[in-house]
Amino acid sequence: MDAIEISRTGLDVEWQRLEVIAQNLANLNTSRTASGEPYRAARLLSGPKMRFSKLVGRGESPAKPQGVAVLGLAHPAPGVRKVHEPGHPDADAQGFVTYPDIDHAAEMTLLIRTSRAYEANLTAISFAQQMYSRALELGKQS
Amino acid sequence: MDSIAPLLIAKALDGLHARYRATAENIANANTPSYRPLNVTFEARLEAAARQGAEAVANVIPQLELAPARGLGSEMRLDLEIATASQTAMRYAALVDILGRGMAISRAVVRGGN
Amino acid sequence: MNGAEAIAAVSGVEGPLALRVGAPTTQIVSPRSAGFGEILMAGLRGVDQKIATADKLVEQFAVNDSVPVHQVTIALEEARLAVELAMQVRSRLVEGYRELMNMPL
Repeated sequence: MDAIEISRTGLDVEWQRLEVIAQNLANLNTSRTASGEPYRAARLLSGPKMRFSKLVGRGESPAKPQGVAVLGLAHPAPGVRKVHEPGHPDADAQGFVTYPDIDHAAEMTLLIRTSRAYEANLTAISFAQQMYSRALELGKQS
Repeated sequence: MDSIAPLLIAKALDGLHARYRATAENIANANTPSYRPLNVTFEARLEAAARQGAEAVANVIPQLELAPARGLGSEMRLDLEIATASQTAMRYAALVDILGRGMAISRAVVRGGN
Repeated sequence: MNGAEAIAAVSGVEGPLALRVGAPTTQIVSPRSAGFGEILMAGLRGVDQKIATADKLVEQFAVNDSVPVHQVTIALEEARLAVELAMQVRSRLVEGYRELMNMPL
């Protein structure tokens, strides 16, 4: 049932990506987090789960597919933008408040792609289940 | 046939059944705050025992484990628990089916063409 | 006992039947190659091989989820068909033997 394991890793990764997007959207206007810094936009990085030696190796065809994994979180530059709001409690000496540089439309687009990828993995699982059941019907007499 | 295949299948079925019950418990606790999911392990030990012979296999028992306590704000993944339930059920059905086919072969020998 | 021995024991086939028919004093020695007995034994060995292959795959599948399930079911079906064929052959042989024994001479 390797195929289902692979799709499962896909589900897991897309779910985590969804959480990061939700976090970004929730923090659109967070000029100050608990650490005192403004919130920075984050992007989930993911890719095929392969042994590192294969990646830095001779570039031959990859080993048995093992699914995907989260590779880390990226914080794209510049990450923040400044808005002139002198009356804001978090304004600096020049009256600028630092907000996270999150593009609402871009986040929504990514959200839609992520949700499609999630559903595609669910569909892949259901097809794999069908294949499995069919293989068990071999030789069955009604 | 003196093969350990039927014993291996029986032990695998034990493990899968235990896993299914643990998964059902996890799903039932979908809304329990700070719930620690259960899981069952046996595959690695069964594979090792299979290399040693029938007696080692007979001693394999599925192990029930508690997932580590999670930090604040992390939830149990209901979708993954459902995926586990589905995988476990399918594999259980497959092993039962395969056991049946093995028995059909033995029955064919016993019937002797009659 | 392996599969071939089991089948042989259950069916009581000891050697080339066709050549054992007749007066006991005239023993016919079965020719070595391509004799009916050889063909029969080769067939039984083939069945045993199929059973062994299926058994191996079942063991692998029982411990490791990565074995494609269709390989297991195909091997099991081939083994079952081979066994059933062998059983049919055995039935026909026994039938033929009985017919011969019942012939008035």
